[in-house]
Amino acid sequence: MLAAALALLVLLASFVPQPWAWAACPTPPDAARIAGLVAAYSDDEDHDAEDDDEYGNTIPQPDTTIVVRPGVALEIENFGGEISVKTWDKDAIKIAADHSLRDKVIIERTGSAIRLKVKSRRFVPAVIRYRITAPRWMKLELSGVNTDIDIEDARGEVRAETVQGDITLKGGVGFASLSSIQGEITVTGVRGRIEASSVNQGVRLVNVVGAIFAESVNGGIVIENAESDSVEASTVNGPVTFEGLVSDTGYYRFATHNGCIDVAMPEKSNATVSLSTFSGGIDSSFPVTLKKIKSRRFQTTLGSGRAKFELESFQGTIFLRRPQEARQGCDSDDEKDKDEKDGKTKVESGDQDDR
Amino acid sequence: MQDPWIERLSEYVDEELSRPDREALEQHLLRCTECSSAVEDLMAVRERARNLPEASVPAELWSRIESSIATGRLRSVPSQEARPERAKESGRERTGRLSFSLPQLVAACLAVALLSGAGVFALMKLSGRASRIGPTVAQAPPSGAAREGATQAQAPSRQGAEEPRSIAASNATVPATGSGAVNTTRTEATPHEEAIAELRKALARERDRLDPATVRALESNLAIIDLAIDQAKRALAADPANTYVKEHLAETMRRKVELLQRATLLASTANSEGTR
Amino acid sequence: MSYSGGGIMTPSQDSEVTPTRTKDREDVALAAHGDVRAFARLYGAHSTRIFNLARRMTSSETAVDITQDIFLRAWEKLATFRGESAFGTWLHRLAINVILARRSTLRTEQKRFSDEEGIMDTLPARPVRSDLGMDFERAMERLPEGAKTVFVLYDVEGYQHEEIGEMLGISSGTSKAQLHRARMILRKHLTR
Repeated sequence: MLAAALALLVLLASFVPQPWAWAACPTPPDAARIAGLVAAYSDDEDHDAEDDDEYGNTIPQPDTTIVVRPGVALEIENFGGEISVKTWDKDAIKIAADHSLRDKVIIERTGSAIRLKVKSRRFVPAVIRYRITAPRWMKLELSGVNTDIDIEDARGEVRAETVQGDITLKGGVGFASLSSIQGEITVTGVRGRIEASSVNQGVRLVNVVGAIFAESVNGGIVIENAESDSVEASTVNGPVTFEGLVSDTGYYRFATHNGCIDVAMPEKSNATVSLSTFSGGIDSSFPVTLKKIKSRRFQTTLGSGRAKFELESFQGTIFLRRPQEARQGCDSDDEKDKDEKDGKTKVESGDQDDR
Repeated sequence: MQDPWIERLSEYVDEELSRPDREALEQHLLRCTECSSAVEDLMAVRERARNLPEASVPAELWSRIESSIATGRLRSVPSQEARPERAKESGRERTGRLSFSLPQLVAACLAVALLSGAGVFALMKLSGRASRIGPTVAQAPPSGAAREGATQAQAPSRQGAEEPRSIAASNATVPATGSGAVNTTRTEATPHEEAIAELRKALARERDRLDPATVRALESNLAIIDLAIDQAKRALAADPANTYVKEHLAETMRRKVELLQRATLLASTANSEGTR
Repeated sequence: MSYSGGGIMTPSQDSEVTPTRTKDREDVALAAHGDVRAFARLYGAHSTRIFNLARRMTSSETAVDITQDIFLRAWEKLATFRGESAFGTWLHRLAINVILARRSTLRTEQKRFSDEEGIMDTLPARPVRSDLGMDFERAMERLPEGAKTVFVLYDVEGYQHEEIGEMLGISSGTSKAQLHRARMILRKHLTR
């Protein structure tokens, strides 16, 4: 029975004009976009009434290009698949979507946004691969359940959220808020404020200029080559590593419960570094003094001590080194401490100096 | 508005117009920006109406009904043997729309907002206490597990310390029992634990909507945080004056609240489109 | 419909998308014979939906009392439920009847649905919190009674104009006009 239905479907599919054939239809003029909102479906003979959803929204074809005026945002809610956004200088958005015939992409236009939604046949989650080229200024609000999201060179605000899907942000300027439960977050070459959070995977920020807020539960945080005066990176189970410029007026906090911390600090910095641990160790290239015996807070001051660093690991080792010194441990995959190092101030758990 | 077409726009949006009317209106829409804008808004209003949050029923309502039944009009018919308890199943089958309690979520958000942020962290460090921050909490009524009918939320009666109760969705008259100054030595634990308990309950109700892999990931991460909390608590017990551990415990509990909050939001929105 | 309901989506259709709660039938039979525990299970399954219907059609303050009335009425009338429709549908209709009956009878039916502007309740001032879309819900609560009723029944609960007309004793044309009126008021409160 099922096989017969499938066969029938295949047969039918070969008769129904493929969606990409509709790309030959002329792009609707801007003035008619409202009419597009509630499609005059009866005019299109190829269009099965059953294919329209109950709102009668336009079912766009792949490679639809829509003119947009500055200020309009893009909103996508996806289930499975991928959202890939690149940008260009035009005030228009090009939308292409690969998906099965049984799924439909619905474009809604409100005054302030272009919204892409999925309509899938009952109970079968849709898998859509979006390829979008958007105006550089466009604000992006993208979400997907099992969706990988890739954004390149966006200059408007970016919000991306997935349940299971990696999020990658490359290039671009402005504020970005990226969050996933199971996916990994990677940001490279961005100028702006970044808020990145994963639950089960790590966060990686490379070549970021701007404030950073990064969080994970079961993943490491890697920050490389940052230029920032405000960094907060914390996880529960995983390492936190940082390399970057130290601004005299900056605040930098790195915290983990079960994992190591590795911070590279140029010798000429002006920073007060506070290192706290409960049962972990401290491995510092700079001399540290035990500031508070009871709370095992150590401190070291460089230069005028203006910038504020807080390094906290409940039960892992905290490494503080000069950038040119090799990492002693605490790579993203390697949390094991190295015990023996010469010329370094070392404090092990159980070591209590009376100072 | 003099435009006669405006009055028919809802019918248009609901597809109640005859074909000739519809076509005429569409022609009009091409020329009339007011009308087009109204069409967009009407669709948005309709969409909002379909996605309204559901408030949860106050827990004590059932007992009121029950006692009214008992003391009021008792049927004079022999009651049959009661079926075995099936409260759990009925809860699961009740695939209501967004039955998660908005007030609960808001309250937890308030709790989290008050308890998180570098500014608050700094405040805690400076003052060494968090007494200002504890929200006034009302004791939630005991778990309704024993009560079959009340598989809904417990009384959503939480107060943020800073803001008056502005969500009037619940008429719970459970009085707030918290006092202004929370005991400082156990400060960090108490408000979080209330939020966690509430969210846990809400999540337990909604988790069936999430796919199993996600549920597993969330649960295992909650376990990771729980372990960290446990270790921090024991550390604090061994070393009560350790301010780092105190703050670390508070922060870890805050992470738990945030994760639960996120998970519950995720679950509660999982069905709003039918594609998740 | 884009949302799923607890066994009822649009009462005018059979809800083929979500499974009918077959346990309802058994519990109804038991409860009709006086089994309070069975009725408790029915309450558990349907109270959230009914409560929210009451809340949206009246207000948060009165919703609890009205929900109580509804379920007490349902208890009394269970014996008359013949099982032709789903229990939830029956309960929903009953709820609407209770809600309508309870509302102010100072004004005549006709006036309630008239075109005269703003029979607005004055509500006690509440702190403004627009970040959660409360503007919209508060605006809903403030709608003129007739418009609010139709709006909730049509846009929120999914009834058709003919059904609404039947329930409220108005023509479906009036129902359409009231719906439109509600939406046009609410469009000013879309938060974005």
